Amino acid sequence: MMLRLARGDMRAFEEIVVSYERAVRNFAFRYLGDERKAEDIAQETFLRVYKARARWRPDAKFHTWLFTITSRLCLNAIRSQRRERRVMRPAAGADDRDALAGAPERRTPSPAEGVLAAERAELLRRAVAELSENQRRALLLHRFEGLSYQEVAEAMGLTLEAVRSLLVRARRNLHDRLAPLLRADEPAAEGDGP
Amino acid sequence: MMERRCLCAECAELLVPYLDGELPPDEAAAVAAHLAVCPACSRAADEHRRAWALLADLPGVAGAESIWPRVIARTHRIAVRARVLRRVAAAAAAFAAAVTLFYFVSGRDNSAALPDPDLLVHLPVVEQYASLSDAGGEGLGEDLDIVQAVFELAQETEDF
Ligand SMILES: [Zn+2]
Repeated sequence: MMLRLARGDMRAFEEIVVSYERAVRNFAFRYLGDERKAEDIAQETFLRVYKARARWRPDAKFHTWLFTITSRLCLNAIRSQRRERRVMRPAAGADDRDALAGAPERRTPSPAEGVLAAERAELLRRAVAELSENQRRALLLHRFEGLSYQEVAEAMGLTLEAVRSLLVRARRNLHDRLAPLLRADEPAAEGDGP
Repeated sequence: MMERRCLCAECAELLVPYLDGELPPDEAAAVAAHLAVCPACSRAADEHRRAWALLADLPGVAGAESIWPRVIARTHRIAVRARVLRRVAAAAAAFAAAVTLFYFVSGRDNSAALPDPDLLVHLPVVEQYASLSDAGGEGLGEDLDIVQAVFELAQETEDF
């Protein structure tokens, strides 16, 4: 499709946008926690694809390249958001985790009361939001876009080793934060003893 | 246990890459063999797998409306502006040259009082952009930095 777009085929551009917009918007939304911004970033991503169409190298993997653009735009958005907040509250510490954490109360449902779908979604959202930015970005690229460690490294401009370490920490953090859900979902067959 | 090393301690580092299929075959085989005999690590692996599966329920965007109409509209708008601004850019360069010449000929060292030369160069572009925007009925506030973006674009993509 990219080759057709490079030749100026606008139908190819439409196909690209329509096939990838959902994934791009979801990525940005899960990273930034804001639907409006996620849509802006999706539009901007595809405009950049269009602008770069003549420079497209057929050897590059389109999917990885597309999410490299999206993830950079998301990072820029987080940075300018943080700058704005710093201007408004100069005394506040630059904590990269509170951007998405939302409401300050942290109610973790007990496994006994069962976890409703909405609570479950909220617990998941919060667990991901509370990861550091880099962990969150690596996790989303890997888990939802299916990028390999090497591809995540390319998209984030990091070494393979750094990505591996980010994903180990991300999954360990997730594991801890999802403990109530993991306990609630425990398969009955496993019993409760070693 | 006859283990060469305590894999439990290492599991924390190896388990995730193992589950992701990102370990070299020999290391993967070592982790698999250990999981078969170690209930604690095997349980941890199982929890990691389930946590990974749970993420499938992580909420995405709710809106289902395609952004294509807005993307194509912006693409056309930028193409039109790029075409106009390419012409304006040439005029801006001539204007800047004239300003420089004026101060040179007048023989005064007024550089401290001069506005930012960058601004001088871009001023006609900005003015032109403002009138274009007014004529086109679009808010200038939409994205003023597009002046800079389009200015670069005009230079970099001749085929727009
Ligand atoms: Zn073990």
